[in-house]
Amino acid sequence: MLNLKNISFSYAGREKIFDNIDLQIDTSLITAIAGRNGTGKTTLTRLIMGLVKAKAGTVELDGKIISDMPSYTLAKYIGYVFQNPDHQLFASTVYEETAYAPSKLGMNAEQIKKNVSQALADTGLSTKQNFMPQTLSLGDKQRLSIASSLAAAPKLLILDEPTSGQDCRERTVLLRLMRKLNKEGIGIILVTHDMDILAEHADRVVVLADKKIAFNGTPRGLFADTEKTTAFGLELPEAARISNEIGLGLCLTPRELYKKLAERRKSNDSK
Amino acid sequence: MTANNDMTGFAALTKLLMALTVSVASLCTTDLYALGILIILELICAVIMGGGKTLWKGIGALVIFAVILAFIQLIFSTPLFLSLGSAYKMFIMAVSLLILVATTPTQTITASLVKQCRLPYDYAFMITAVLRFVPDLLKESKEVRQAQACRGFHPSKNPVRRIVDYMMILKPMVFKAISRSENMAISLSLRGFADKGKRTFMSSTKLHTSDYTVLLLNLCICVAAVKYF
Repeated sequence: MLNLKNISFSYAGREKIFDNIDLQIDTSLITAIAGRNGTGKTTLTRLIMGLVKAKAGTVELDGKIISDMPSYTLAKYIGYVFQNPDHQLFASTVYEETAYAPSKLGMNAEQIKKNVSQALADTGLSTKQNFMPQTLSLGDKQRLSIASSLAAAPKLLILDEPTSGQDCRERTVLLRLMRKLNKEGIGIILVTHDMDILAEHADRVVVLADKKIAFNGTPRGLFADTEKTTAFGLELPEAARISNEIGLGLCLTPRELYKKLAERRKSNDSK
Repeated sequence: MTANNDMTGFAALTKLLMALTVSVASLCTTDLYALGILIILELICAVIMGGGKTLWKGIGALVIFAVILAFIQLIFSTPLFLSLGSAYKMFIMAVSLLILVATTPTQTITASLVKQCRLPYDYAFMITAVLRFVPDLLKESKEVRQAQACRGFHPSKNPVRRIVDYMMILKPMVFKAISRSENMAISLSLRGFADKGKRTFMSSTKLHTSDYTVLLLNLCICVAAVKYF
């Protein structure tokens, strides 16, 4: 469990971004963080990762205070994947890039080999391990960033807008990977603007607004109240919008919408 | 916006000439009093011309750098007055440029270099493009450092290993800089950069009475400082 207690934060000389917030995140689930631009979604994840320090309050991971730990120590427990993968790619090969974190964290050679092979297999990059990272597509680069975090065997993975700028196929591959990793026991914190992704893949949603946690619950709970969703500056997912318009109740995903349409058709036919 | 289309009301050429005269004056003298007067003159200019926190932060960093420079020279048995002299000179030249950059929009500097200094546009643009990207590069280096810290990067205490460690920061930045310059070149070409026809500048570069007065005062102080000390 990740526990943020009484967190207040502001950047130097600027207005407060968080004012005494409390938040509990179950690290076995996929938790999405949503909110308007400037509400502090990325800042919240940076606080968790120790990249910025809170003015007040503490961050705990499984009962251990981590807010006073530097980011390079936290890398053992939490993987952070930046929105722009180019920020971290420096090695000459995909393999070297992936092996960086475990070697820096002092793992032994055998463990490094095992972790790197597993991370590359999980992310579908095994066949590209000798490629130069800079020559990969954006989707591959993003998965390489994930692989290089996974190789350190973290409990929790933070993904900051992982699908931005990616085509449909790359996006699907990445989201499947996210689900797979979660099934394997890695908690995911996902910062996203995409309500379709949030509705389909997140188990929990945290919405930030007015320096506070405006909502913390399930996607269904969030989108059930259309007015509230709009007030938070969020859009309804496409499937929810259509299902509301045609009076089918709330459907979060196209699959759910299709199922309800099929049921309606069946009941109409039987009448 | 002021009439001169910059943050201080003084034309870019005024600041350019002031930077030039102060720098030349500092090179013409070794007297610490004269150099001290030039530093005071620059600090007064910095106050008058504004520039805000960024300018003063920059000046603060230059003070530290000047102290280190003087200290290193002293270690290598350079006489005190020569060590201080070269630190003062470095400080004077760097601050004069810093005032220009921190208080003038880059497009105004380009316009001034082309229209008044008759520098070819390509070269003027190159100079201002470099100045424009310094803050971006600093921001980017911070982001790269943070991204690497998330993977366990922590620079070694050993100075030699530290240099090797910093390659991790430099490499992504170089790759990004290359890709950015390529994108920028394409984007500029697509917007007519290479066209040799008449170019219109939106920034006003005209000198006003205040500019002439400040320039004259600056020149007098520089000459007096060099001649009478």
